[in-house]
Amino acid sequence: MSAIRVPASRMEKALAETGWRVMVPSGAGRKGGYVELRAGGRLPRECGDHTKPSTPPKGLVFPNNEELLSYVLGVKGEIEVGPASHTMARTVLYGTPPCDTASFRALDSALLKDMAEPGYAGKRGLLGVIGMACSRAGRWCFCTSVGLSPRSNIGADLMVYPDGDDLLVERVSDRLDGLWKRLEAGAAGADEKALRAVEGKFVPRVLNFVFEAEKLADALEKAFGSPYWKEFSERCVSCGICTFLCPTCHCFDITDVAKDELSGKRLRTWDTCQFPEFTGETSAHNPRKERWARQRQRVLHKFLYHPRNHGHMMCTGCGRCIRYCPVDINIAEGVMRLGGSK
Amino acid sequence: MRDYRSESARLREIVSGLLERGEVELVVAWTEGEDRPRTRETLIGKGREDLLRKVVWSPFCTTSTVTFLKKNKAALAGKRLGVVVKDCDLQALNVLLQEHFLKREDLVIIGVRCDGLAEADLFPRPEGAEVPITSDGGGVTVGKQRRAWEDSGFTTCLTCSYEDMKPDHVVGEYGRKKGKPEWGHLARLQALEPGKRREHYAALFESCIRCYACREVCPVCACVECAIDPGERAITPRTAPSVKACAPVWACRERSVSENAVYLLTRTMHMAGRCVRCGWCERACPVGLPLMEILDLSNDAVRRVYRYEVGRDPADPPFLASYAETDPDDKGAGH
Repeated sequence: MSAIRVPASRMEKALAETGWRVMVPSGAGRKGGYVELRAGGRLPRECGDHTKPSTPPKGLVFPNNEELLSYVLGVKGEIEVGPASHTMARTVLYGTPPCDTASFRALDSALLKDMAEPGYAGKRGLLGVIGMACSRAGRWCFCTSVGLSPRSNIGADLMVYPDGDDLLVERVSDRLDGLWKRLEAGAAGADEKALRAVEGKFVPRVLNFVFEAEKLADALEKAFGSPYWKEFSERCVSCGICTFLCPTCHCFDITDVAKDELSGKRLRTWDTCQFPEFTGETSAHNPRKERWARQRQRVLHKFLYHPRNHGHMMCTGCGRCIRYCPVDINIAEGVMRLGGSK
Repeated sequence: MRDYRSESARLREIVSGLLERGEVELVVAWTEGEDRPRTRETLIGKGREDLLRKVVWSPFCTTSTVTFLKKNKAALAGKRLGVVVKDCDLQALNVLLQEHFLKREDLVIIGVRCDGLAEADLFPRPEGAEVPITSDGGGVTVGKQRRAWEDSGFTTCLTCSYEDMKPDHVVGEYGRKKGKPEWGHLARLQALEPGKRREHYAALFESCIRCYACREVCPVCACVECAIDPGERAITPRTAPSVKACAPVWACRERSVSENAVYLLTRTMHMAGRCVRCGWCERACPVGLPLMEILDLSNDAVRRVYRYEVGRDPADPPFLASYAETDPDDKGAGH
């Protein structure tokens, strides 16, 4: 059985029994975040743009400040290297909207596929994602433009469709089978028809435009030299908002921080293609000195390079980069202009 | 009541006149974007009727055209420019003129009389260009949606006292009495016992994600290279030790209370006598940090101790370059 119907309270109980840390979206806006559910706390019963915080869930497994190793120089000159101190408790993300849920597909393809990055892989292995169908689109949402929808389960291990006081739970991967078994025992099954019926309630209401991944990549490749990039970015201020708040952006910087002459640590912090020194080379040459070149990189990474390498767009249409951009730079507008189709 | 459609039409006349007569090569103005009533700064040249048509002035012109000038300084160098400014923008422009960052003779300044700003995202998207945007002493109205000024998302505008600036052209008339700067929040913070105050600021510093939006959107944060993350600091085999010694790392990339504090406090100190309290840093902050709370610490000192008013006149000396014989700290001045 791959789908069941359970009362929402049963999900609460089953999750509590696992003893795992449960993280839930705390609500929309700048002061929000994915926060730990208090013991006995109520799980969110719905999700949508109004529950989506400004910071995406990527920080759980890809923290902004991550100690990769520490070192101490001994008296005889020997160097003792300590392991990464950053660990994570077994965690379940509950109630992520489909845009944030799908972000893990993009992050995994970049940081796990082919060559797993140990810091990310270690934490990712301890994370389960329970996505939820989205019942309220926001003004900046465009998930349906990038191949997702308010009911897509991409990136989820379990997918939840709220239906009154019940939840229809769909098993998408085997990662949360421990929890699934607890839920499944004695629960009513939901056949394909019942699942589709409930799923159908979460109809896409974000009908703006459609990007066809392959066509778009081709069009953007041709638009590499377009003069529009300058117009697109003339008011860009080169801050990190669009990328730091992006659920899929995963560029980082590594720096060694000396505590004193004998010890220190190696840190990984978020970095962004929008900072001028991002591509600064040792020779002092900087291939992306101009803001328009950096904005072009952001757009092309999402809609040309990543799709060509991994088969899906590196944008989930969550709309954060548009909503929080201080100067109204709109990635959807730019992509439409350069290669979208209505 | 102010009708921003007619004021926008007047602004378009002025802008197009300046371009037509060749008084300026380019104009920086707000235009309507895709996401109305949001607006965006746009560079408009002669013959760009498509952009000129969209030129707009409303309480949703919340960005700073002076930041645009700062960001595009190199590209605009030597060009004669028109620039549309609100009261706080002009204040910021005056600071940059005082510091010789820009030249007054290169600019034609078009001032819009501002009663306050409103957050576009709090209003529904107006359907169609004909939806009127108006305001009066009490609040802002877009179509049928009305919000009081106090409820429009811009706290700094409620205490803005800057008016009657002298630009080259003026659009609109004030429709609301200006406020008075408020410092009650500082008194409340300073009344906290030191331990609590420390906790308060530590929590603020800890939440910073170091996206540097506060610095980048600031119209007067205009250093070519910031001490916090100097981008041009290339170390090559030929770099002399003396040069390396001149580029210390003031704050490392670690996101921690202490490193974030170095960034935010360095900025605060550097803003002394330069911050015009437009509040854009605070509004841009994606994690909602109350940045004005820190900036006002130095703003208050500048006002109360030195009785200096920021950005009133381009001919005034900059705060840190001004000297008064009555300076109470100057014991050697013979008084």
